[in-house]
Amino acid sequence: MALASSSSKMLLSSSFFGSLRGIHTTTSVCAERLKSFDIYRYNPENPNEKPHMQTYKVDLNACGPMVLDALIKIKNEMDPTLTFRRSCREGICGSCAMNIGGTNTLACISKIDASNLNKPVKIYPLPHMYVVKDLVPDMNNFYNQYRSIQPWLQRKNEATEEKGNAQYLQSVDDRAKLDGLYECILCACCSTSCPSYWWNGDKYLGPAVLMQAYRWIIDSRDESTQARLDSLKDPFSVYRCHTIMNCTRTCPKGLNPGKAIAEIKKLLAGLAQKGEPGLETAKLHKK
Amino acid sequence: MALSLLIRSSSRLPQVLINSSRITGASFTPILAKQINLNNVRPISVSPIRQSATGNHVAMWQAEKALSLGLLGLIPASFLVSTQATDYLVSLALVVHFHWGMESIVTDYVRECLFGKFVPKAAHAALLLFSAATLAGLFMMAYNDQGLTKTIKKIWAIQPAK
Repeated sequence: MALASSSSKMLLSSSFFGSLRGIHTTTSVCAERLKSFDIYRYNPENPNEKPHMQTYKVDLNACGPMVLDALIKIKNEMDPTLTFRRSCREGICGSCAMNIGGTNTLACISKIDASNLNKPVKIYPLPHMYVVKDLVPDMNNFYNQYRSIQPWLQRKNEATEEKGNAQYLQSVDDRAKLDGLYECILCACCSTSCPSYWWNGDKYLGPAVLMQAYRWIIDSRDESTQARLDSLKDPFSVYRCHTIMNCTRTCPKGLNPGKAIAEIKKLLAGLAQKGEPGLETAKLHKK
Repeated sequence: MALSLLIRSSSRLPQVLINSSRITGASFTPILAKQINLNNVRPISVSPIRQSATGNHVAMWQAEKALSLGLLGLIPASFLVSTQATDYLVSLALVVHFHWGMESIVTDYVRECLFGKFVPKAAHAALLLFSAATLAGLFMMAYNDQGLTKTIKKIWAIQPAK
């Protein structure tokens, strides 16, 4: 009995290792599927060296399916000097926004095109941004613009509505107005795809920031609506948008910044009204 | 040592400064210390600083949209009626529409950061002059001649020579 069980154990283990070995051999036997990655390189520590493209060949059999997997593989195994931002690797942090194959997108959620191995994947930093190094753009201007729209809830009677005591009320319909706005991860793919933002990025806020501006304008709980709109009525902040719609086309989260800008224009021109909140927002604070 | 480290790690200093000190070689730190008071080194940001824009563009936007909408009816109507009055009206509307569109293009592409203070203003002035001349020409056509719409109708009616 003991013998039988131990032999069956052996049998089990041998077949287990056998199958493991089998997996190994299949990967090594399989022909390499080499794909070229042409990546923009710029090193600020060699100011005399111009930015250039560098080609890396990655075996897709030994690499994850996404462009970010390939970039990490290149950095780990081929060239540790390759510099890029990444964090969540699942499209929620917006760090790995870059220009892949001519489209601004997130490297972590864009698949490597394995159907045509001869066609290289071309990777650039976000267009028309100042480059800090390789694929890392300088986001300071973008973040300062985001700061300028004051992206937080503003109430008129904050003194009487003590924080932490009660919730603000919002009707289901009012909450629904924020859908398609709050999901933005500020990856800047849309803003950097916008020609108006390329030409006037210093004064034009760009689609990403404007969509967040609209997100706070239309929030039923926010009472700074008029001040927010007033800060946008100059000729540049909003009105450099010429409805080119690159923003909506490129958004890796499938949002529609172009529509949000149009809604801001409608509110500014008085063609639309924000409307009263469906529920009395501060009702629970009054008891 | 601290100074040289600071300078080496900072890509913000113009390279010329570092190179020239390398060439003069011998007294690397003293020369630099003499030439650069680090308190006076202006930090260089690669990001453009957000310029505040002022003014109210809302009425302009409303006028642009109203005019664009109006032209949809005005153009066919002026061809149907073809009087001197409608010719004046459609000429004015078209030129203003054209001018606002071109103005937007000039604002977008002829920017101060590329051309300096003078050229953008000159470009706007030139555009204004061009639009004014166009309007004057069309008005002259309506005043002295048969007017815009009738002229277009005549050009349309030209038959190829047989």
